[in-house]
Amino acid sequence: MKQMSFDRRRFLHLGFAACAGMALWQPAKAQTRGEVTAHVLDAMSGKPAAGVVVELYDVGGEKPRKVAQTVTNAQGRGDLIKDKPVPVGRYEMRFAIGDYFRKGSPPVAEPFFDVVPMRFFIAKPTESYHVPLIVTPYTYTVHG
Amino acid sequence: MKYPVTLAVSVLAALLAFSSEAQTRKGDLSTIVMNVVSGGIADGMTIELYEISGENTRKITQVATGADGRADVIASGPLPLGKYELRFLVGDYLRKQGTAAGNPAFLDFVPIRFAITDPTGHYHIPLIFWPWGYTTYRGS
Repeated sequence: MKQMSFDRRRFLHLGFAACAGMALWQPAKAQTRGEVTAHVLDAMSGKPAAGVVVELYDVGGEKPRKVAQTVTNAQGRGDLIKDKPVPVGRYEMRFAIGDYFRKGSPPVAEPFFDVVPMRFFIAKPTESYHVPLIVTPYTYTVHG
Repeated sequence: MKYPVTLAVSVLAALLAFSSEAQTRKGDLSTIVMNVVSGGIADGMTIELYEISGENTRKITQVATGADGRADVIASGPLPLGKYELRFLVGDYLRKQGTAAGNPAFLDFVPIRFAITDPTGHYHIPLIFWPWGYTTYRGS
């Protein structure tokens, strides 16, 4: 009987240790993740802009260096960096908006903005950087 | 006698009309900068104009906004055709105001890319900004 209670206590201790371990392990795993994502909304049609080429450049050096490229999906969303730490630094996201409107229905012959660049600083490698762009051929709003 | 005078007056009037038309169509590039946080215009912000050719950039000119938030980047044309980038030094401006977001600030300079396709065109490109984002448009 005494032996039994000792085993039970040891079992409970092991259980607590496992729970504590999991609790500590989960945030540690979350901290290694970072992401840079884009979302394009076409304010002309009032719909998400699908098929927009979005590039990400590291602009910390002498010349901009492309680090990622994506094409927005049917929801207007695109992932540039997902589930990995993002090196701290200055970046430029470039949205190929001119191509999107020229190929649109109806096509816009001369959109005023061709490439929309957005420059921003990534200070925390494990943070989520989401950059929405709300755009027409002659105006846009972009923010972090 | 009467006809030559009428003709001369007509020619003169036509020339004057043509020259004043030419004067109003020289081409210009201007901006106005508004700060959403303060609710007013941004006075004394530096704006640079770069010519863009692929990944190469060449600085053309630099101006600062006046007390009315406006700046003439190119006051009088003809404007050279090409691809350009206006750089609004929002980061420097916010640091001076003590309202920059993040350290280093999230926004440094705000680049606006556009093309000049008409040398005598009127290009007005306003910027409305806050520490995390901005709006721009082709103005009139």
